[in-house]
Amino acid sequence: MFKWLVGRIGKLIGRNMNALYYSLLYRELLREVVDAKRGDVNEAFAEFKRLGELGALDSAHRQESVLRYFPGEPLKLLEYMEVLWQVIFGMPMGEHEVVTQQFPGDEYPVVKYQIKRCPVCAGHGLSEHDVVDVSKVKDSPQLYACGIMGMLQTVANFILGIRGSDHKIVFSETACIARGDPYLEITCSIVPFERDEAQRSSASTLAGSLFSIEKVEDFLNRPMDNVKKVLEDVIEKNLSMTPNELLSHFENYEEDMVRVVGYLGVHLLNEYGGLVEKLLSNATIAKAAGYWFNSLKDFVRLFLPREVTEDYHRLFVELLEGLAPEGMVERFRGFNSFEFVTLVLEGCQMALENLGVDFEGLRENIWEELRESQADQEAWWFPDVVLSLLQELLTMSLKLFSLPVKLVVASQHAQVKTVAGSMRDLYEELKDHGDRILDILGELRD
Amino acid sequence: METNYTRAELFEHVATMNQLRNTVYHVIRLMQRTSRDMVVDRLRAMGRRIAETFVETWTPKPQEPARLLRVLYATALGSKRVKIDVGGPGGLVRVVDKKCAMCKYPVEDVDAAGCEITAGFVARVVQLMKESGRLDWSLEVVGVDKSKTRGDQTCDHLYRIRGGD
Repeated sequence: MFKWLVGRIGKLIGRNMNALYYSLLYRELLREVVDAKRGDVNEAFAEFKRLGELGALDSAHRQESVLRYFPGEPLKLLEYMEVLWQVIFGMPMGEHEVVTQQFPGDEYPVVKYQIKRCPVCAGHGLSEHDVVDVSKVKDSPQLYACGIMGMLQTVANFILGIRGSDHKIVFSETACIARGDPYLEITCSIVPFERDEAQRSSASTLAGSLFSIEKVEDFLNRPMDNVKKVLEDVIEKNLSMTPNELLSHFENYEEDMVRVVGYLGVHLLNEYGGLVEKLLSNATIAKAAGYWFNSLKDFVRLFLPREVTEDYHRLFVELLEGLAPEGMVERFRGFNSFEFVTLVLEGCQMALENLGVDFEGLRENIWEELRESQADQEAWWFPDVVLSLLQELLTMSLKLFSLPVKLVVASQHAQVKTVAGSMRDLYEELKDHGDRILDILGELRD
Repeated sequence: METNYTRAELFEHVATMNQLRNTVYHVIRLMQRTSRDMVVDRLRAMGRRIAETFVETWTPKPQEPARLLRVLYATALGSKRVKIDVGGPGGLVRVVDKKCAMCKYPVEDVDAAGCEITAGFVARVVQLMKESGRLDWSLEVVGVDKSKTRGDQTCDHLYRIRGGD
């Protein structure tokens, strides 16, 4: 969404002209620089890149309020290369491939964009005025699109600067269609860069007021991928091992692993001020909680529709895909969805036992408990038969009640699912209408 | 695999001018250092060469001067609301462009306006149409009378019509 929006807004607020005129103007500017360098093409390419940098820097200062929303991490910023390209050209990057190469000892990989169609050199060589000859240029870090490299490099490094990064990106043109290469190749190398005190201080002031829109976009685009990424980061940071290494310890103990989920869930709940433990330290409350929990186990099948439990089971398996060993994922996939819920509840029960609920000492149900407590008293409150009748009536009414509860749960679940599914369709619809609105605004502006 | 754009395909697209426009002024500074007083001539020559390649792909439909210039400014330069006065003495034509693609901000250390390129381009397109027999009138550049680069509110391009009725 952000990429589309920035591209469209850039086009709307930018000054547009015919792309053919643009490419011919570019050709003429480069030709002037070649003339100024007395025909030394290599020197002219380096100079034109420098002039492109200066040109983009003028704009970057004016557009700082927009550029500050781009990511400040170099690799993440390069994911926005298409947007940077569109901001500079006003044309989409089109079909391209991204190739990354990690060299030993380097902190960051080298990222190469192989762009199939280059608007700058389109048709170059067909007209008598296409005099800048790239065909013989070898071993130069810059080729025909050198000016564009300068612009992209400056905008990217301006963003890294205002976001306080201690790296910069060097853009080189390593393949050029005008030279006969099959694509335009932009090679991006991320290198450490020392910023001066003033830049660091202004970046840190700015960083506090920024919200990372790229994270919002990532989350909207790939929610499960991001949950996985967060999980991966947490495991790697705290346990110094990959999720696969961690989860492989539980291989063939999948049932216990699900119990651990329930167990940890209750203990995590207790982490907030030890509230659960404090409540359960009261014997009556602990007993009541035990009966309530037993009822929950009994009624979970009654109140939860199968489709709902299956969805959550599916979600769990999806979360583990790529994180856990394949055999483990397959075994989880084979679980019955209610079996899955039962195992979670068993884990919860173990945690509740830790926190003070004596499940062993409980009667079969709360009515038996009532009978026993009344037996100690001199006068009976209710005859035994009345208690039995009450128990059966309540159980029957709960079972009757299970149908509307199931309906409500299913309908709420379906609504959430529909909304989630519709978000993608809605996004596409909004994008189409947004495109039209921005086109109309562009026409109005003209 | 896709082949590169042709110039005819490029003609169907629009490009954003902002960074390249700024770069034009850095190139002009370089030209001021290397070509000194020839800068305006060289800028117009750039416009003429652009025109000579541009007409291989597209030319406006032959029509009377004001309409033709309006179409040319809108299509090639993206200036859709230019004011055109063709009633000047001796065939003088004034094109007033409030949103010149080449000029936006005053540039103090530059003497020549970027829209000298535009003037060279526009006149040459018309001349080429005349040379190919599609028009019975032609256009020559008189100069850039006003420019946002020099701190004016508009860019005013002056031409003179040659031939026709």
